[in-house]
Amino acid sequence: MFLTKLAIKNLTRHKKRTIITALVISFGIFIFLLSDSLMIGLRDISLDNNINLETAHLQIMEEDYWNEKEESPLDYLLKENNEVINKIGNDYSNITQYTSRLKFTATINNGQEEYPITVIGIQPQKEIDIFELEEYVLEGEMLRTGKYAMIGISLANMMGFEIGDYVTLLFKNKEGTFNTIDAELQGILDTPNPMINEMHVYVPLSLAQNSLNLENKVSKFLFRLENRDQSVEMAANLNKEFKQDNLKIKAYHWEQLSKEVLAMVRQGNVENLVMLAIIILLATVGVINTVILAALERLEEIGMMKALGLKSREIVYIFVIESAGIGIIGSTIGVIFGAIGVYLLKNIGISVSAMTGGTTSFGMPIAGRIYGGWHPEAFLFIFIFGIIISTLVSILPARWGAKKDPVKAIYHR
Amino acid sequence: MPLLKLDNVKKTYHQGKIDVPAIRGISLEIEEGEFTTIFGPSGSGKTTLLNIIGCLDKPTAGEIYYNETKKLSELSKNELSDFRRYNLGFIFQGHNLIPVLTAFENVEFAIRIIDEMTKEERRKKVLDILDSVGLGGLEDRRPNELSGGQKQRVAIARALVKNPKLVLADEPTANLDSETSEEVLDIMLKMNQKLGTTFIFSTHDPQVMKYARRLIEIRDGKVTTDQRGEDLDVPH
Repeated sequence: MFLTKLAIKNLTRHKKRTIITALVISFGIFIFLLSDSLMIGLRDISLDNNINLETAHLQIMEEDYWNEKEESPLDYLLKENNEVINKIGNDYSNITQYTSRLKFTATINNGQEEYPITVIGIQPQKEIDIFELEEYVLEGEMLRTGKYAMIGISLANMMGFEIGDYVTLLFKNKEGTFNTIDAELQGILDTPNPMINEMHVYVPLSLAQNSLNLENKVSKFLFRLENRDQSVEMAANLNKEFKQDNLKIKAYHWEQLSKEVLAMVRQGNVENLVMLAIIILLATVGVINTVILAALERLEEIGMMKALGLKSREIVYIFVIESAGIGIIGSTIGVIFGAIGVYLLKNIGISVSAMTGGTTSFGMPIAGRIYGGWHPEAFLFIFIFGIIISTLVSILPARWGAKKDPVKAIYHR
Repeated sequence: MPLLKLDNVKKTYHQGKIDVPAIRGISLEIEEGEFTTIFGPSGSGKTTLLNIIGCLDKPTAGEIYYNETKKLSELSKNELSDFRRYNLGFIFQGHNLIPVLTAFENVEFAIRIIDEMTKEERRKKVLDILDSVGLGGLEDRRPNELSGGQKQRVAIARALVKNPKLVLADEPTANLDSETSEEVLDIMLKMNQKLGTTFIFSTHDPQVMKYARRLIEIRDGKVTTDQRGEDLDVPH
């Protein structure tokens, strides 16, 4: 206890040095907490955006379509009036709404230039109940049935389209014959998903089906559930049923549908590990430097303590407790400033364009502002981590100081 | 029975390929309660001898017996630490006080690491010893609030508070003016007489030697004279 008290008092010897070392640790902790909060915010916003604008909670499609979904093929399609799907819609009470989409690739043409896009045939009325597209209509209105189209703001700006203009979509049907859709631009979207703003053109499902000679055919069915946590279990149950009935269709839950986003989140976790490595480095350099300086300054004292009968391990203990003290101060400051930073990130957010110059959104379906997320476990973890690291890295230099020959230490030889 | 017995103790330092003998075979017996001064010119081996007696340094050859039976060369590092902790007190030239501790805490340090007393016993013991060295009322001062003489008195109190059998003082008055030196030596002598503590201190100051009850002269690592008694021949 006395040695602990002495170690704590030693922290006041060189207050500036103690504070600077603690601040170095706290800076690393602060950055880690911001980074962690941002990653959680990015993940939550990305997943929410993905679910609310693109994937819904659960989708059913042919397995072969799933395997080639990146190409939006016109093969492996499903019947729109599908008995199996209608039965699922009736049997599962946790399904709040479901709809179907027909997805294909095309180029959009403004009379001067063309640009590759993805066309999505939707049932406007049902879409409103499942997705939040309507909330992001910037100009014009939500798509209606007829020869209408709805595009994203980035695409509209790039191609110079305004509400009321006619957009021309050029594509090949299943037989390989070129066809076009001429549709009046009814709405311009400004969603938080840059991919939608730049690459998607929405047309009524019936218009898409007629133009592709695919009457009553859709790419997939999309389901909104009471909450996303029900999705995984429901997909498993459905797939069991499909297998028993020898159906080629398969259900996919939200995690499978958001695979790319989750992969980016994992990438973010790697970035957090890099931040941890930086904290370790900062703490190591700061604490080792401090302990070596302290040992050199206190050589006579170390010699005196040995003369009084203190053992090397007791002297190591004094230095290690001092370093733990620095770790506690640094971690506390880091966590306090981290909490303030995370609070601001959560409530005020940060503009993606301000962070990236408007050119990217880290590849995630995010635009506008990013908001941080609370992660109390991260605070607890990094607080303890900061203390443990600063304690551990002090052991070697402390042993170096404590092993000094008492005579050489006392007489500065 | 002597408290301490040195039997042909030698110490040689190695500086590169050159061997530098510091102690060239000293045999001595120190009786319990003696107030001994080791004197000699700089480099004669006084400090080396004190360090060897204090178990801070190991002799190259020879043996040191404590209470005739304990061979100090046979003790491990930890056992030597314990030996110093319980049996020895040290007073250095530079008082070597811990600057973040008060006078009370600096003295208390020596008995806190022994941990044989209650808090109240410890407090009484520390205050008594501080009072004995003339520092009553100054126990809450930190070293930077004390004069050089007062600091050295704290160091004396720290050395004596655990009632050690033997106190080793390496030129304890070297950094003090003559008046303060006499005060410090008076205290040491008083403690020797009051507590029966054995003192061995080194010096090359003739003014200090007059306090000695035994005077050992060392030159070139050898004992050249060894006088005991009241009327010693103190060199000028």
